[in-house]
Amino acid sequence: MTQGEREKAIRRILVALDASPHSLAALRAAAELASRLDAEIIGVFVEDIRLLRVAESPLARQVTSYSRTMHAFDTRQIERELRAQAERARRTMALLAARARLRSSFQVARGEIAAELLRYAAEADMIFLGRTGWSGKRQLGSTTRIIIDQSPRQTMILGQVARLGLQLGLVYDGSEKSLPALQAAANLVMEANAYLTVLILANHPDTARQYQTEASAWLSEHGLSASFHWLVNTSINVLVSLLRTENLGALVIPTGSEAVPVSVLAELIDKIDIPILLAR
Amino acid sequence: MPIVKPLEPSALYHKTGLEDVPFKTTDDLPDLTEVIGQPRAVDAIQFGVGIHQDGYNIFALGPPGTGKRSLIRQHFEQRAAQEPVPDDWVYVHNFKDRYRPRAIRLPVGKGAEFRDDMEKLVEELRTALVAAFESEEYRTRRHVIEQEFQERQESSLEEIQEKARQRNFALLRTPGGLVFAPMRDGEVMSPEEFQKLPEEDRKAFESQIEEFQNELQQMLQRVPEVQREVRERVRALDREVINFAVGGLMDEIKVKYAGFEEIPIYLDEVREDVLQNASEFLSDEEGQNAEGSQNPLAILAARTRASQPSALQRYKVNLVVDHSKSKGAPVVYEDNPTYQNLIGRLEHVAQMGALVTDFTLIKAGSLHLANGGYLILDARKLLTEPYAYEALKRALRSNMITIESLGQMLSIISTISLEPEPIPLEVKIALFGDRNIYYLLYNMDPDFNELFKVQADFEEQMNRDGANQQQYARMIATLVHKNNLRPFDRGAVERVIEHSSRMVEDAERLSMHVQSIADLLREADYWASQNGASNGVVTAGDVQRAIDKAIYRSDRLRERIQETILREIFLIDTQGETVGQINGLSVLNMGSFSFGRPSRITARVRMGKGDVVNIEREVELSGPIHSKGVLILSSFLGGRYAHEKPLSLSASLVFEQSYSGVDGDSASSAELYALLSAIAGAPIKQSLAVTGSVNQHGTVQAIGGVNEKIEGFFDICNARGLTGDQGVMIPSANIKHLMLRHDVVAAVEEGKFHIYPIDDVDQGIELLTGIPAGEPGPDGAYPEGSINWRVQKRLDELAEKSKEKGKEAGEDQARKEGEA
Repeated sequence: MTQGEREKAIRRILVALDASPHSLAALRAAAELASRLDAEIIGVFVEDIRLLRVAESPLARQVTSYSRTMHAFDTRQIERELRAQAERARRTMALLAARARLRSSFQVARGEIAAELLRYAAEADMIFLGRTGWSGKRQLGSTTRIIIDQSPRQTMILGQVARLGLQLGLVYDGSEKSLPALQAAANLVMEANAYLTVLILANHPDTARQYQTEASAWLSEHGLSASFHWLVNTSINVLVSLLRTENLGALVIPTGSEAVPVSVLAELIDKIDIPILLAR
Repeated sequence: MPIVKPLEPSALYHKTGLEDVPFKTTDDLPDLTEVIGQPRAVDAIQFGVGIHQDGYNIFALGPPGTGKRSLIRQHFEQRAAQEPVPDDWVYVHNFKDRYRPRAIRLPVGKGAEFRDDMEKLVEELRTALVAAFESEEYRTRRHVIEQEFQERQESSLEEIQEKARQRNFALLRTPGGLVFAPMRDGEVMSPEEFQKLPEEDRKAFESQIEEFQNELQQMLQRVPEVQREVRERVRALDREVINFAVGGLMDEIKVKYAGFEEIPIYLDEVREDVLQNASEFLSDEEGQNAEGSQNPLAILAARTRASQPSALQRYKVNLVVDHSKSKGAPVVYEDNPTYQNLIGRLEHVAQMGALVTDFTLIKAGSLHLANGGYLILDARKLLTEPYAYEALKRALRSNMITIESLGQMLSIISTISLEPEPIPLEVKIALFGDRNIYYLLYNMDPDFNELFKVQADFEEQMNRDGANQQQYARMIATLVHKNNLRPFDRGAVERVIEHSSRMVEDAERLSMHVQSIADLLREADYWASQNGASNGVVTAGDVQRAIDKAIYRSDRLRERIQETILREIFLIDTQGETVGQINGLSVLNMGSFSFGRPSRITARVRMGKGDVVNIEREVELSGPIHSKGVLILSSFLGGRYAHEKPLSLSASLVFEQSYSGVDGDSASSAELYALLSAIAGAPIKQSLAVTGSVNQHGTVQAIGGVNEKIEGFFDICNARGLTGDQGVMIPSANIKHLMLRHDVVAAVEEGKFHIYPIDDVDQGIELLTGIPAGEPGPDGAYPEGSINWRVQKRLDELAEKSKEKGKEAGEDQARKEGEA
């Protein structure tokens, strides 16, 4: 792959912003990658239509997080709050973009969060998301789950860790979905001068060997090399502990493959706090 | 009355007799180990050094250059060498009150050791703590605690959320908090939909929502409690980890210093402080992160933090007094006794425009350094430094050294400053200075005699007897050795001793002004080197040259005055005879050099009411002592010649060609001679000059500067050519002060110049006029033709005339009244 091709591959990076800590981590990672690829970043803040709807309800009451008191909750109040949050997100993005001299744009949309993001995603080449939003849960947020499932583009999910490490992992299951994953991993390896570890998922050692041959052939064709791990008939827990001991800086996973269904993916994301790139 | 005989040449100069001392040059003389000629001062200093009571500090008084400081120092050092080395002192952080650093006393040498041990400890603490907090174990345990908390939070929130979902309610997060909303088919109900519901259902929803909200509120209210619990558990974990990491290190040092009362207590405080604040100095190293921030204040603060001493600084030990290299008790001479140099000072460093200080910036003063020993101070310097004397007294009174900055003391600066714990003071002070400083302090300062009870009074001169001359020769030898000078031969030593007598103007005394003697030795050595000092020895000639050159350097004015006399601008006769005119002698003082000059004094008389007019006094050019001398003259005249009749004369006296003031009574005999000559009409020989004061009975009394006066007149006569008649009349009491220049002595030997010792006025007037003074017979009358007879006769005539005038005046008056 030539420099030109690579540049063409990712030119617009979409970042879902809600000003939560994870989303800001995603923004920082996106800015870093964008400056390496000379790509544009597009920040999108979606005003949750559900909240606006609730505010219209005469029954709506808000329990504030800080004072723990109850207040009346109306449309004007929620609009003000959302505007303030959007402004914070915009400022942070403008600052990062100015520092890295990036082209950037910031947009505010209103609607269902996931739907709006997917709509914007269609125009981008890559999506950056926080693992959870304001819910503060450790588990994958509902919006993120939908995006993972339906995103038309490769998607990077970030937790607290906002940097991509130098040791890059790739889950390879031999399916046709594995090839774009390999391609995406190769891109990152070349961009960041990283090392690649290929984790091969297979039912049988012979299959695993075959996958390794395929993958290493593709890599050497592109002038790259990698180390390999076989995971034959193993559970998700083994994968998780392997990922922890290998101390990987990021993981690339093919989406839509049978070996890693969305439910498994969600569990994986829950259990390890490293940036995960879902390739398509 | 026998005519007065001139003095023999041997009486004019007292030669040194060192025949008993076997030496060729000063190399043969052993050094003096003690100070000579100061038995009183030595006794006082020994007493002062020996007595161990408050207030027995020493004040050495005497003129500068008499060796006060070296004598004190010598005695202090002798004593100090036998005394124990005092303790070390350190200042440490006070964990209970950071503004009052603690002072800790440690045995000699332990101060530096403790400081180094603490420095090492801090270095090890840092490493141990960083290692402990970065360990996988600590991180995991901390993570577990935090995770547990988060899970507890989540699960209670989820519980409510789940309960709500079951009753068709959604729990939504807003930017400001949490809201509940009714749902239908998994979607939030719109207000229209809600309104369409039957009243009952709406009510049910409403009460339900209220219930959930209350539950949520209660749950959220428990959050701070849980957070506190988490913080406490993290803190407990931290303490456990820190204790484990530093325990060993702390125990080690504590065992080492277990024997020292205060150190273990201090170390316990350090340990507790480390436990409380470990995080503070761990974050020290990552303080720079704020640099990435956009906030200029944060950047500035971060930079300041970086330049600031680290939090670990407070475990440092400030060794203010270190005696590890001392032998015996300290003897300190403070050359610059400013307030701060005496009692110590607090230094400051600038931080963000403000001046801050801490206990590591406490600096010792000379009182700290001399504590347990001796301190020598120059009284004049001490008194001229603002607040220094007061601070010294305060320290001596309280027996404590309290460091206070001047700004604080005067309330000029009101920022936070330190009040270091005072240190007990035990010191012997010696001040040295002029006598007038001593008496000034004694009279003006009530504290002074309580704090400086020992007076060491230094002599300016000593007796010039055989034993003392020997000692003096050894002192000269000691000075020669100390100053690395060429050896002085016997003649040179003798000449120095003779000059020493001349310096104090007394042939029977020697000067104790060691500094001038040392100067003379150094200068003689220089001239010897200029001579090419044939055999490397300084001779009497070199000493004489040094004296002459020193005089030459300062006698410009003398030369000018002599010149004006020789050119007859100032009129001084040195031959012939004149009535009512005499050569008086005065001394001019030019700092280190003084010289004599003759002055013409004249007297005139006429009829009057018995007053002697002092013209100098009329124009306020006469000092009080001179005026006193003139008043004595009229008293003498009245007493001797006019005890039965009124003194009907008016006389005036003047110092001719004197344009500045005249003081002293040394010219009073000369004035009296001029007066007698004027009354008697007897001319006075101008070849003689006169000095000496006179009392009411006509006795001639001693005066000062006799040598300079004689030399002053001699120089003029010599320049005009000695006639053999010329000479000076001095009071007999001044014979013992004669140490005249060699050329004067030589002229006397050749009979060309004479020095006459005079006891009373009659001797003097006889010598000056060549006419007998005349002693009164049994009838009280003087022999005819004598000076006294002539004076008496003239006064009687004046009295008679005055009486006639009085009578005429009386008749005139009566006639006028009769006519009227």
